Amino acid sequence: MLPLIDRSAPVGRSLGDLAARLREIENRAVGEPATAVGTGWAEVDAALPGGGLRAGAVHEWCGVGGDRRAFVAWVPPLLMLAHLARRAVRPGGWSVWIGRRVWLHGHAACAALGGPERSLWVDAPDAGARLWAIEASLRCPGVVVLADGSGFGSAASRRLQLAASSCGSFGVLARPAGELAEISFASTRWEVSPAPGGDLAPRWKLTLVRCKGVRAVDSPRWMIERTRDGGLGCVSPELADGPGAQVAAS
Amino acid sequence: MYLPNWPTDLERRWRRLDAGVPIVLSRCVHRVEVVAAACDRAARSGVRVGMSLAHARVLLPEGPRCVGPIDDWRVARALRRLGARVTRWLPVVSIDGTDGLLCDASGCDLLYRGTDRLVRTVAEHIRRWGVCARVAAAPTFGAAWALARFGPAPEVVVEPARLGEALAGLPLAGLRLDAGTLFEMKRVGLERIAHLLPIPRHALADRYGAAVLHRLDQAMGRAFEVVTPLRATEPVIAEREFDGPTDRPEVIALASRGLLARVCDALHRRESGCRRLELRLARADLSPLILTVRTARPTREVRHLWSLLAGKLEGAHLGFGVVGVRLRAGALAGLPHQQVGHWTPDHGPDDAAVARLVDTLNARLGVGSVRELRPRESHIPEAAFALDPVVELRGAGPAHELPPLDRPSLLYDVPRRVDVTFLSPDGPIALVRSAGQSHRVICGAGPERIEPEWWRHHAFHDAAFHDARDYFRIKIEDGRVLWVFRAGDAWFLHGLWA
Repeated sequence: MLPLIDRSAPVGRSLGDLAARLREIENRAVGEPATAVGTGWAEVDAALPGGGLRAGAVHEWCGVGGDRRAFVAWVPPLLMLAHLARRAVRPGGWSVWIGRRVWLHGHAACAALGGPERSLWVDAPDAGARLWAIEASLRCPGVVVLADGSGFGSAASRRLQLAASSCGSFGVLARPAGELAEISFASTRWEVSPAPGGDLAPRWKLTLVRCKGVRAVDSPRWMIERTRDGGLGCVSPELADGPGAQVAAS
Repeated sequence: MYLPNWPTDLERRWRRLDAGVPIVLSRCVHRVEVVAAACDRAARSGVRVGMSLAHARVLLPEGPRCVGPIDDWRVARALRRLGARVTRWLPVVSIDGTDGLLCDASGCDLLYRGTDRLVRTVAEHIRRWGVCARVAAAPTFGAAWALARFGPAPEVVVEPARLGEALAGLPLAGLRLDAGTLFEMKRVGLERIAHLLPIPRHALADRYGAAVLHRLDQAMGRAFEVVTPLRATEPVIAEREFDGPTDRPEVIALASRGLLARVCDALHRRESGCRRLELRLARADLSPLILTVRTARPTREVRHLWSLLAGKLEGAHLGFGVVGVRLRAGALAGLPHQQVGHWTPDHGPDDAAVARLVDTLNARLGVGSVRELRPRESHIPEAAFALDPVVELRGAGPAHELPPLDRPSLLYDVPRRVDVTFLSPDGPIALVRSAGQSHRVICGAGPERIEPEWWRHHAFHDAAFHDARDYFRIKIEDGRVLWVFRAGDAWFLHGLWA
């Protein structure tokens, strides 16, 4: 057991080093080496400890919509989930999509995952069965879980986080934006909202609401846009408010 | 042994039809229904195999008739079962094509006091099952094959000394030659086997290939012929009877667990796994209850199978009590032994673990709750992909070429009605209205026309969906990109890029 504070070290140690040390101790308690799944967006990865989303944890992506004024009811950020699935699935691994709401259209799923095979689509009749199915899938090695996490309380969130950390599996829950106020034990929480501006390519505003191990001074924001090749790319802030946005705002 | 009317005889048996009812079975060939099998009664009316089904319907006499599709898989399975039953007279039985059996009767004639009595016994039994059979016994498989099909009587026995004589009068089709060779031979006047015998062998081989000589030698007993016999596999069953009826679940669970261990042990010795497990609870006052567990991959893991079976057992209705349990492993498949590494911690993704997950999810959420994505041959967006229940976990499927189309990530099962306002007639879309809300359209692209597939039954019965659709991608003021289409005069929202 290493002492928490190494007295032999120079006193003027930076806060970042200490944070890294704390994370190391935290991870050792779990017994898993902290590996990270890169988001594929360099600007976003830079803000995350370990250079990406922690594997062996559950991450919550809230949005899109869910408020009363929305044109359609809550829709999970499906393209973001597909993007994360592609980043997280190892070669020969499987992705499991739980809950009818996160079932992508086949064409988008094939484009994102590289083919129709090696993905399973699970239908759960109610929230209890869905929770059980997500937990069972998280406990299966070699599986990336992408699930509809709407209507889960803090106990359910704790249960899923424990399952993921004990088995080292990567899970992404999609939740309505209205549930951001709920207490959650997820490793990171993100808010996704559609952003006006740009041309016909869909564009979203991505906000890191909470990240375990990082004290949020203010929630960092990015602009994510669908690129021509069908993937998702991060738009730099200078380009984000182009002339298109001016027109939209006027 | 030749079964001339095997598919129709089976159909008559399955449907319990009278002998007088004509039966015609069809098969779809290049989108045309073609007669695949016709019984004697239908053949007398002029129905022939290969004619179109519509023609056959006209030819059939008035009155009761039976016309339906042929189920090749079921017919083949029935033939294997018939072969297994024939092993009670003849030890080596092999399946020959779709309508015959080749049996080795060496030594069996002593048991039945003569080959002719053996042949009569077998033929009588098969006829008693309602199946028309022609049985021939000859010194070679080739000769027996020819005699069963083209012989003078339904039951023929040929002694070794008279083999050449018996074969000489048969048509050349009895030599199991392909249709092209037979046609060529018929053109030069060769019709019977006797016509081939005086021709020098090298001339035959030069003209028609070595296969003709080989078949001729097989029939005459100058070349070997090897058949692959049906192997009877012993079913994997474990059984336990109780002293009296019991309704204590823990007793039944304990007994079942013990049986499962025995079954898995038997599977282990056989180096195979099962994909189906049937637990039969013999109840004292009710009919037996059969609990079935299916797995996505062959397995013999006690722990996994028990976790599936225990869930089923919990909810089982035991009635007054259970007097015995029987466990049977079905759908067996080879599962080779594997070296187990103790110190290698993680091999990465593991298909066996995923298969176990699929079984567990299916057992708890119901069969069909786990689906897999299958591309379909269609350009209609909602029909281009199907989510089918996972029956067997595939590794890697065939490579799928994705058409270079931009499709939304979310597609509604049923498109929603929307109202659309234009800036000018045939101009760009300005407003989209739905459920009392209107949204300004910032930009858009389109149309992309998708024509209906007239050759296929359509998913939507609404007349509007039989029209061609013009799809537009539009971006509304809050930043969402929608996929709307026009069918006739109506506008629908079909999906969005979420």
